[in-house]
Amino acid sequence: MKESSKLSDPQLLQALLGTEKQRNMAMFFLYKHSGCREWVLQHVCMEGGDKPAGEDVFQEVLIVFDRNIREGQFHGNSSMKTYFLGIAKQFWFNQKRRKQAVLDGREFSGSASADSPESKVLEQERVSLINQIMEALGEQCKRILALYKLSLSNEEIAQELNLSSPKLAKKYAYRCREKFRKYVLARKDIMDYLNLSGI
Amino acid sequence: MDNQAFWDKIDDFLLSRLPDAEAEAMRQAIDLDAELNQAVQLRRLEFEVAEQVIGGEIRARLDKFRAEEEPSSRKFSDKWFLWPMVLAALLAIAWFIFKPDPSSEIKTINPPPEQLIRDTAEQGKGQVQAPPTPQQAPATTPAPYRSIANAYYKQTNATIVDGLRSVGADSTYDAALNAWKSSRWKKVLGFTRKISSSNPQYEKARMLEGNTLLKLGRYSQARQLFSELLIDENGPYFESAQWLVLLAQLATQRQISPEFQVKLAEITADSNHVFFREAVQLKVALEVQ
Repeated sequence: MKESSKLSDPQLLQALLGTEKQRNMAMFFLYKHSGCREWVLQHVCMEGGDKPAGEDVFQEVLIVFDRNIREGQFHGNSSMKTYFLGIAKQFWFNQKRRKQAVLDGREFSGSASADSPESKVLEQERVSLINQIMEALGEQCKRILALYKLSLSNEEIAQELNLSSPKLAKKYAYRCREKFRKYVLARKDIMDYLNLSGI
Repeated sequence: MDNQAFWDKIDDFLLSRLPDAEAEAMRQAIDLDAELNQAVQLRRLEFEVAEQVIGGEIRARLDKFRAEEEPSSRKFSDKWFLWPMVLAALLAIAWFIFKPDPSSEIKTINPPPEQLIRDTAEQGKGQVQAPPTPQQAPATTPAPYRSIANAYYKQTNATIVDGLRSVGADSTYDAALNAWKSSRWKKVLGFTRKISSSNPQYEKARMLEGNTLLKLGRYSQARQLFSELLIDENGPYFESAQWLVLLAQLATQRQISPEFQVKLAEITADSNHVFFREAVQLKVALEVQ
C-alpha cells in the first residue's frame, strides 16, 4: 500500500467515499502515515490512559470520523487531521468522565444526561436489537446493506460481491431489504422500540 | 412520486441533505402520515444496522494492519531455540521424500495408463494425465467432477421435477411428462421438442428437456439449454436453471474454472436461493477436494 503513504485532504476524502479498495487505502493512510494514531496514543497516555486504551480510542474515533465524512458532517472548516484529532479529544474526554463517574459512585445520580441509567439501558437495548437483526439478516445481506450505505453503485457492488451483473446486485439488495423489513415488522419488541406498534 | 424517488427523499431527510424548508415539510408529513413515519423509522434502523457492519469492518481492517505491522521475521528469530527443531523436521521430511522404495521404482518405470487415469479421476484433480495413445483418446477419460455433479443432481432432482408437474393443459407436455415418469428419455425429447415457444408450457418443456439431457449424460447440451433459460431473471425456473447450469458445467470440466466459481458464488451469496444449501455443500465439498 505504498500509494497511500501521502494523501492530501481532497484525496483522502475521495478515497473514503470510494470503493472498498480505496477506503482500505484511506484507512491504512490514517493508521500508518497520517500521524493521527501516534497523536491519539500520546494524548490518551498523557491524559491518564495507557497504550491499549489509546488504540481503542483511535479505532472508535476512526469509525465516527469515517461516518461523519460519508454523511457530510465535515464542512472543510479545518484540515481533516484537525477534525480527526478534535473528535478523538472529545471522545477520550467523555470516556474519562464516564469512568470517573463510576469510580466516584455518581453513575446513578438520576441526571437526564447521556450517561444516565435510563440512557444506558436504552443504548444497551438498541445494541442488542441491532445485533439480533444482524444475525437474522445473514452475512450476505449485512454486506449488501453496508455497501449500499457506503453509496456504492450497483455496478461497484456487483464487483465487490463477484456477481455477474449490476442488475443482480439490485435484485439481491431488494431481497435483503424485504428480509429486513419482514423481520422487523414481525418483531413486536423492535416495533415498540421504534414507537411503531400502533401502525 | 415513484418508489425510488420516495426512498431517495427519505435518505436525504435522514442524512440531513434536504434544504431546511423541505426538511420541515417532511417532519410535518411524518407526524401526519403513519405509513411514512414507519418507512422513515425502518430506514433509520437499516442505516444503523449498516453502520454497525461498516464499523465491524473497520475494526477488522485495523486488526489486520496491526498484525501486518509486527515483523514476522523478527518474531521468529527471537525464538532461536526453535531452529534445531525446524532443522530436524526438514531432515525428516527430506528422508521420507528421497528414501529408496523398490516397488515405487517399478511403477515409475512402467505406469499403466488406465491406472493413472483412474487415480486421477478418483483424486478429482484432473491435472496428471496419462499420455494419450492411439487406442485411448483423451475424450474417453471420465471428467473428474462428474460423479459429484451427478450426486448433487440426484439430491435436487426431485425438487426440480416436482415443479414441472402438469396441470393438464397440454397433451404433448403431458405425454412428455408420462415418458419422463417411465424413464423413456428419448421419447421425452421427442415430445418436448414439439412444444413451440408460443405454448404456455414452453418453459416447463425446456426444463424437462434439459433434465432429460442430464439423465442421458449430454451435459454440454443441457448446459446450453439451461443457459438460455437464464435470460429472464424473473422467470419461474431461473434459480433451478442457475443450479443446473452449474452442475452441467461441473460434470464436464477437468478443473474448477473461475467462471464456475463465479456462478457458484452467485448462488452461495443468496441465502434465499432455492439451492443455497446445496450450493454451500457443493462449495465445501470442492474445497475439501
